[in-house]
Amino acid sequence: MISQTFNGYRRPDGRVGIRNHVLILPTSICASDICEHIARAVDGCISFHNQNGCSQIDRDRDVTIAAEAGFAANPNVYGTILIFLGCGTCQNDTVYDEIKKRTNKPIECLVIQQVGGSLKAIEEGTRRAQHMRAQADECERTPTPISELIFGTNCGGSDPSSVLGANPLIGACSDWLVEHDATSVLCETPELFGAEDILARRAKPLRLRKNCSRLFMTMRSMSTCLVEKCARVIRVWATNVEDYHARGEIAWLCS
Amino acid sequence: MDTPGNDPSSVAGIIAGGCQLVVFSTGLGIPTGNALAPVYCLTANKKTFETMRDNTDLDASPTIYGPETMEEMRDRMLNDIVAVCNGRSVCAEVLGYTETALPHICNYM
Repeated sequence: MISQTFNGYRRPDGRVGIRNHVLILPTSICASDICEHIARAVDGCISFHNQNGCSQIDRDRDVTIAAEAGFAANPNVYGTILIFLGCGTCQNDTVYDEIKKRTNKPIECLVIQQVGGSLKAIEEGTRRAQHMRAQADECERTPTPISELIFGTNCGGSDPSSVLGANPLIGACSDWLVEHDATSVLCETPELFGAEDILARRAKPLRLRKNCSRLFMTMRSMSTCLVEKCARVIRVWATNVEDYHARGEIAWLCS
Repeated sequence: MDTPGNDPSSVAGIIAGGCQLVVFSTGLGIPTGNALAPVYCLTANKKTFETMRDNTDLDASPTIYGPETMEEMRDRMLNDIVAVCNGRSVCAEVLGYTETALPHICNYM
């Protein structure tokens, strides 16, 4: 008998988390170490090393900001302390606005260059994290229908057993959850090759089916492009090897 | 969700998209985790479950070798999922793994 409820944290935006983290969010790589110091100092705070957020073209900057804002809005997060160096492509106010579009959960900002350096930022950030953590601890788990679960699926380091057993098992769990009105998310678009038609057939409503078809067509053309590029690289490499052979340098290459 | 095949950036993408929990199937084993959400790891490779036990939450090999049926394994895994939703930690959380990557199409300028 599978429980059709779980005990989760209901957020002010209506979504439900299964963890109750305070997120110390570096908007760029330059704030990452400082965020890590703060997250280590206060139990129940989390952070991660963000390698992006600076020196990016517009499209990559937009993806980075969307990801940062999405992290802050994830229902496993009680609230966020946004830490920003002061310069960089992912400006604090832009990230702040994007978070505000997604959620009304607690959020605070700290600018390292404005507070006067890394040590002061760590001190001030730690104090704010401690305060937000105390507020987060007031939250209690409440019974929640399983339909509130958004179930992410991924695979990696695959071998034949993935195809024979583990992935079909995830599929069986996913089908059960969807039957009980939960949401299941498939990802890793390039790895959907070979199953495009099966997935498109299962897509509801029709609009989603059309989106699937469009996505798969884009994916096919990208892959063709990639294969062509790889073939070109291999050709160039082969030419170089022959060239090195001719100059008697192949032994050095092999070592 | 349209994510790359690269695992840390794919997992980060679906968590940024709102997933509270990620299940991760592997054949050869992987220690991956994320700061925000539990990443529940399963393998149907018996040998991998033994060698990578520290990093693997479920031995799914009965789906291939039995004796449990797929339906029985599904129920077992779903009960696990509910337990994780209720607060039980997965391997990657216990060990503190938080690897995160964000996809990009261009080198830094």
